[in-house]
Amino acid sequence: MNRQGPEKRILCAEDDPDDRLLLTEAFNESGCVAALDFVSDGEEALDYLFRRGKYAKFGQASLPRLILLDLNMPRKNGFEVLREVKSNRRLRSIPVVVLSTSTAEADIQSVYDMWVNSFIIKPGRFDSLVNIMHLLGKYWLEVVELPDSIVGDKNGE
Amino acid sequence: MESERIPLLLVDDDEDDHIIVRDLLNEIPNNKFALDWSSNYGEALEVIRSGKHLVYLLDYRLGEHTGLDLLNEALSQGCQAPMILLTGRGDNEVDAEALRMGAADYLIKGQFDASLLERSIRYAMKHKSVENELRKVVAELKRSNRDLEQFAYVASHDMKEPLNMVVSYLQLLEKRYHGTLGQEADEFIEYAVQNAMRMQNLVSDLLRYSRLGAGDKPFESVDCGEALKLAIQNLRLPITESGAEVTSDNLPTVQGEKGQIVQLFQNLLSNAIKFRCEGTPRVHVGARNKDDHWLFYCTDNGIGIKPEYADRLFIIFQRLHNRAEYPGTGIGLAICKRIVERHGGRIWFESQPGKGTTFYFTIPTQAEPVKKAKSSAMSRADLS
Repeated sequence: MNRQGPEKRILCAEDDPDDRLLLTEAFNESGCVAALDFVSDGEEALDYLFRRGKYAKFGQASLPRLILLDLNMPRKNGFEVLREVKSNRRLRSIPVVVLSTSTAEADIQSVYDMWVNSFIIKPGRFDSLVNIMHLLGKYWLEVVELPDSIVGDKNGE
Repeated sequence: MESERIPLLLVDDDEDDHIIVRDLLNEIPNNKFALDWSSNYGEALEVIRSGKHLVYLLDYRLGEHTGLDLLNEALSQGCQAPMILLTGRGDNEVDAEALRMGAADYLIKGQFDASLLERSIRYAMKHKSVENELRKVVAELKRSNRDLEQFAYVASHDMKEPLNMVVSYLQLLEKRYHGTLGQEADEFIEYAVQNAMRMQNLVSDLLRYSRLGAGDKPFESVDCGEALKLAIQNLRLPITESGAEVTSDNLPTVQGEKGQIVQLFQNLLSNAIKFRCEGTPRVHVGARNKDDHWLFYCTDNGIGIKPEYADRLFIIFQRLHNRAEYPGTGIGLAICKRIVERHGGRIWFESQPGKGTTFYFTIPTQAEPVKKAKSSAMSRADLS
């Protein structure tokens, strides 16, 4: 491990491949330095976070420093993922940002009731999406501190 | 030929009256009416609840109760059959009250013969069936209207996502390949981006408009002065840019949905500023008390509206100017109309082209949300 510590990871749960490509493009444009890991439904997101199934080999190291969550997904939806993450002692420290096309007040209220960290309405313009990715990367990966249980030993070895 | 008999119920505590009515019915040639008799209030209610009779004849005097009490109770229990009140001579006030409460007719005891009784019963039945038919049609219209609104909502909601994709990918194309595909290609992409973005605006406005119909927030006290202040705050950019002067009287507090009242002022002010003449745009908002409602007005010194456009002005997506002159989707006034109507008021305008326009709208002093019929087809709760 070098002095910068392990690579920073962002988990992005998004079922629509067009959306995943667009998020990747916007992320690359945003100047944000991190690995963007995609999962395509809520079940897979939980496998990733709990290191189950095909993610078992990942071990407990390098949990993502940010979860970007879509709400409408097959198998398990974003609400279910959020509920499980926020009721787990270790995972609940990982910031979760919901990225949704929903503008329904009921959705916004209910994810905040489940302790989501931010709710963002997916913009309809590419440059807005780039800006959002830039702000998210800047704030959650550079400004805030997370506990060691998520990021490992911050001082390196 | 034996056809279906028409069951009647007479409610009367006097047996002699029962005999009189029975005999009158028997005088009718080919009498089709079958008369049952109930002599007290409680028993009569039971029988009415069973719903076996097509017409009820209610005596006004029923011991401790009156025929009006019975009428009222039967109606509140959902009785659909017509009720005719039998009253005494000189009971004009009772007669009027009975009709007001929903009686089909009244007959004055001792003053009706067989043919009048027959006609009253037949008219009452006819009247009731027309009324029921009308009620069914109105309910059906409300339902289909509601379904149409839901359709607009669902359609605009579901169009939003793919449209966002189109715009975003076009913008990505523009960003990555600008200057490499030739000037013509750059122009084509630019037109595509512009129009896809225009469609985005139309769809999001349509969504906003259809959402207004779905609002079921209860009304609260809204200080219109404060609502206007919020609207002005939201418009500070165009107000500053145009140098507009916005003034107002003291505005009343009304019963309504605050967000919608703010939106109403905001759309009216925004139009007043957008459609301005040379010189300083001036907008004034005022209100007058008119007994059962408030009359609001918003008057400007803008370009005005030709009277022949009056019919089109409040229709969704109707525009009187081309987009190069005045941008917009043509939804602002449609939204205003919807908000005012939801508050039980109406909206109209007076204008002198070249001099200015005054928009008027009313809000009842005791406003309640105008109810909509429930839809059966689609549910908004399924959407996110």
